Amino acid sequence: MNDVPELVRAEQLLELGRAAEAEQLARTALGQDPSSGTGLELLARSLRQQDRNEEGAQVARAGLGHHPDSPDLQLALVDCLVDLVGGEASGRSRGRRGDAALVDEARATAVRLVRTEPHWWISHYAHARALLAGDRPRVRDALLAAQHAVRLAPHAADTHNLLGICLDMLKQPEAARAAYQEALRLNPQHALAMNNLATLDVGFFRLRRAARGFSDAAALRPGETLPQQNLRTLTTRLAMRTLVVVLAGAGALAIALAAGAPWWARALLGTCLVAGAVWLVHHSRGYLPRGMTLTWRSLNDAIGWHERIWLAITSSALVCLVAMSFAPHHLAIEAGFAMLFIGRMLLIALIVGGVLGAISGLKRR
Amino acid sequence: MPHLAAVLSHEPDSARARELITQALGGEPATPVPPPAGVDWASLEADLGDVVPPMFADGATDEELPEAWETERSQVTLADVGGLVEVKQRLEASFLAPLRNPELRRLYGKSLRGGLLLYGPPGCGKTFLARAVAGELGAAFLHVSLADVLDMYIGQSERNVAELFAQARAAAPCVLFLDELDAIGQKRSLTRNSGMRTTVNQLLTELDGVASDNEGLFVLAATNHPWDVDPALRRPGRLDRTLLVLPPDRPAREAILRSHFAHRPVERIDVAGLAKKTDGFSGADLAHLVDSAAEIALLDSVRTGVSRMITMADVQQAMRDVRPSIGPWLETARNVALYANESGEYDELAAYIRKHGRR
Repeated sequence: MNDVPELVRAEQLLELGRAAEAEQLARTALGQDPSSGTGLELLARSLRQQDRNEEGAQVARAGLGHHPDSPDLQLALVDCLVDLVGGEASGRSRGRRGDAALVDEARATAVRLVRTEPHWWISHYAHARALLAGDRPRVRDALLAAQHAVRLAPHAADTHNLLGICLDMLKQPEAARAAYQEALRLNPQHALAMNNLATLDVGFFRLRRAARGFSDAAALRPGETLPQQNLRTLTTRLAMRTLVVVLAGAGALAIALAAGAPWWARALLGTCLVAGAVWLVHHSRGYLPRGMTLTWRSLNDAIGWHERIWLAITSSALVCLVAMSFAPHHLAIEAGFAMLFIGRMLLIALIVGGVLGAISGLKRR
Repeated sequence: MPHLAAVLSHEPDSARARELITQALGGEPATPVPPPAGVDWASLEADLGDVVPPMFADGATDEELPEAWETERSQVTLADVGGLVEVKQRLEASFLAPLRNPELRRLYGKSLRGGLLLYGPPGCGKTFLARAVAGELGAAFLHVSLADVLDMYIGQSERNVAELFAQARAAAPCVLFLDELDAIGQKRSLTRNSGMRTTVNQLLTELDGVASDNEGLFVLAATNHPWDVDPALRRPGRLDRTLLVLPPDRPAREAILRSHFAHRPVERIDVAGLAKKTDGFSGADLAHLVDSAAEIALLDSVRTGVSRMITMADVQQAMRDVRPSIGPWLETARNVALYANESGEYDELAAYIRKHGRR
């Protein structure tokens, strides 16, 4: 046990998520003993917890200069480097110059960690994370490392979650689902496994279940941005679903207009279509967390520009649908052309990859 | 002499032996001193006062150990809290009124069980409010924070919690104020340290008063992160009432600024205007602002060699450096209001965030 009171307190504060205070205490302890391995490790961890991964990596490197075989410092360095390049399969990799070197360093440090502590599940877990990091993840090798970690610590929910990510990336959704579910069985409050399971549900068009998963994960960890980003992406998916329904309805109305249907028939059909679309909007709203949809302003606060554009397009399409249903014949035709324009824009968006981005933009960790 | 000493060791009361030994030492036979009419306690105490305590105790002693936490008597009341009218009203309605009216409480069958959780951004006066509640009740005030309870040794944190409640019960009526509750009573699902979990369990046991009676013990707690507090702590009978303490409103800011300027040499400070400009500042930020202004005036006095008053120009210069410190808290609170407010428990917070439109 470490006997320096500042470091003991720093460890406790880190456990409580109070990284800034832990950092101060670690620095105080390092003032007395600048080469303290525990002090440097705690400082690196507290910096990482504050998303200051670059500084954390520097501190861990300095610590390894003094204590090259310290597994804690090796782990701290791997964690900082993996987070710095965007984490595993998160789609956050920014492709910065020098990221490849960081990934290589993370992988080399992880290999050293596995050699230093071959029976520690965290070594293999960190190794798997390092292999998944970066633009070119080595998923099969990561899977082997994750399976090793699971064998060493079958009781740890984190290992099953990571195994699920590897399987998901290898396009084995059912096996990935089983791994995430096992993680949640071991720890029902595992927000990341909840989030990852929900990403699978989106793939299977189970939007309600996915929304529940993302919402629960976001509620459990309000400071974690991943489920929030996924909720935003899901909002886009819901808007797209409504847009497709509205476009289909517009198609039916266009046929009625072209066939010269009487106004009452068009209005009757339009009433059914508009009511259906409004019901769908209301229904979709129920998927999202209550706080997000309490007012228009709270929804606006929760989403980004990407989602706002999709919502604006969907709203415009709904207005056009109403015009096609109830406006005089010539105005209805104008609205139909506007709808055609929206459809064409949607097609272009599909081609240029905007929609593809929305589909594949779900993030796992 | 040796013979006389041998006789005295066998017969310590022998008058003849004592007489002879006195003669042998060259003195007069001792005459018996008449007993004093009354005991002079003052001189006895003065004599005993210089007695040096034993060097080693070697095992348990009968002496009582000093109390681990300091119990104080708060002189502050709610009238001393500037502004925060709504908070004070809610505090009165939800906590103080039932305590002050035992007959009405009995009539309506209102239990005294449970405590109050104050939450809000840091530096907004939660501790001061708790002190004021103790002052209102005329109760002892026991202020405990994370550092007082957590201990590196296994089992010691739980023991600290038990001792803390025991001391608070002994000092009843007592307001026990648990500061930084998120640290002491963190969600057990979030902590990997089993020691922390058992500390929360101990806290739950003490709040329930399972082993003893909590009559006369009023538990107040404060946290910046109520969403990190273990839900079990917020169940009925425990810390079941919550009160949001937001950054001071304009009248409160004015009162706080006036109190900080009160004992400083100031000249023509527009406190009302300053209160208007400091929307979103916490009480601690306002204190920092006044300190910074004073520092500017002090440095200027040192530089020129002529002491001068703190002016509005100093305050305005300080305003350029001092920013509201509750931004990061608001960011987290915003996420909670958006994503973790299914039951509506943070509606008040959500309304505040919407109103102030901070992101």
